[in-house]
Amino acid sequence: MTARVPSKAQGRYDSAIRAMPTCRVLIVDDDDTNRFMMSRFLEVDGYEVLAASSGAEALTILRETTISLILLDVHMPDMDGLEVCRRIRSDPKNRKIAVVFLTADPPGSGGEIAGLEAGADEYLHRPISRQVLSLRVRNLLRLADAEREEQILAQVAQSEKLAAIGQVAAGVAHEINNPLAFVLANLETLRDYFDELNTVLEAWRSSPAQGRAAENRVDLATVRADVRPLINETIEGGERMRTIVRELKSFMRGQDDFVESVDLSDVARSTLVLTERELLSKSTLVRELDSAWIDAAPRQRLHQVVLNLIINAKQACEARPLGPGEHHRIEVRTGTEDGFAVITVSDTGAGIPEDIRQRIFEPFFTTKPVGVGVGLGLSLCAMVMDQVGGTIALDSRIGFGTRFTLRIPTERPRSASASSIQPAP
Amino acid sequence: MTHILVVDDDPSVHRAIERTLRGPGRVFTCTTRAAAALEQLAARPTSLVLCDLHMPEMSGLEFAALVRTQWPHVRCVLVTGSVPTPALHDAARRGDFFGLVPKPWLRDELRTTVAAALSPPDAVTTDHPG
Repeated sequence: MTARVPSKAQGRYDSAIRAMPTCRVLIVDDDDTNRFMMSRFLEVDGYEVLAASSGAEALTILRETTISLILLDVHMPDMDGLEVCRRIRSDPKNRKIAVVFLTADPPGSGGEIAGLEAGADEYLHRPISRQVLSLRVRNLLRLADAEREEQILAQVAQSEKLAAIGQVAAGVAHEINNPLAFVLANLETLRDYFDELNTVLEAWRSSPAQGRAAENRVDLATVRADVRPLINETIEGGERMRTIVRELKSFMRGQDDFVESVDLSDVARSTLVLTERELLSKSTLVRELDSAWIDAAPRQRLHQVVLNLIINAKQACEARPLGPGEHHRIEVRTGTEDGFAVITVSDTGAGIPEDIRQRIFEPFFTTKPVGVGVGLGLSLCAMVMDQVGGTIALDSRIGFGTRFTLRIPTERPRSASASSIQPAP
Repeated sequence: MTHILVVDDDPSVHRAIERTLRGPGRVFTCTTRAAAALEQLAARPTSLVLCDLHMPEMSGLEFAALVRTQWPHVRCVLVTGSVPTPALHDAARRGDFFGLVPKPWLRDELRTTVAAALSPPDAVTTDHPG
């Protein structure tokens, strides 16, 4: 059974955007009734509203809070709206804030030019219909929304990267701690051996009889037989740690989106080395890693993708417990096929129910318990596949398992946006 | 004769533990698999099991719980290179194992824990002798 995964299109990040705080609007008016009414209107429209009764108060709020739009009365005692607007615009960090003047002056009385010159985006006259105000505000905030969306994408990628680093760190700690345990223990034993050899040597220097007695006392035969294997094992332990660190360096190499020539099998191998004992110790791991070069791809991102697929496979297996003596199977394969570098990660886990296959690539969609996953793994995979012009497909059968297949063009696509997510063949 | 059973999927760890703990009257059996360890427990009197938390087939916690049910007089000391999990704390509260030694261990820590595990159980928590 094959699921068709919806293309990125609209909406993939809708849930993420809904999860973000709403736009914040500041209303500046010395008239209590005006301020109250405007606040109500905009709150009903779903904005977070702050209010100030003077220009000075507005500027203070601006210094302390991120504001997307300001609704500004023109005539106020002390500092008028024009002056407030000029001061806002004089600080470059406020350049993205939309400023809307709202005045009771009749149209044509000359204030409009001055207001727009001061840097306002709109100059509106009272009385104004609630609907017009609402639409003006929405349209002005469209830009702010687009920017927020970009920030969300960056946050999705970043939080997923942190989660992945956490997983890798746990694996690395375990991989290092095991050899470190016997390397340190062996060195302490070696120090004992050295002391014992010294004792025997000193005794021999005194007399052959004392030497022989000391040899028996410290069991010299055992010590001599054990020194070399002990040193060899210790060196082997050090080499294992060196391998882990080398794989870690490969894993961490390159900036997030730095594009280079990458062998997908290399990415899969170092990801597996770092995670297999921690993540996959309960399953039979099958790896068939044929080289699969991609001309230009962000290595870091691919590591995260492979790691996420492996973590998912492990969790899918845990979700379908087996009887005693039975083992789950996780298979990771890489290779090339018709100009594509291909990686498949398959598990014998619970499978993905048909009704949620459409949703699993949405950010924050998760079926995992709280604390196990935040639901960003597959959305990150989909994002990276978009970035490299690749496709991601899944086959799944409830109670039998799931296979993810990622296909990335080995030559750089002409345009990264020419991507699609397709059903498995 | 004190028979100590070491279960760890890494043979280098077997030898390091044996070198650290060996002494007069102590005999070691080392195995990389839980199944083989259970066979050993069935086959010969055992004083203590040192068991890695991470094992293929059966986790150290499952293994310790099984040992406690079937051979209640055999104490289990878990050895781990990972961060303790909630499941580990639960097992500790249930008394599924006697002690926990981290990897890498401090030599005295390992020796002291093992000595305590080999000392006779006190009167309050008497186990049924095998």
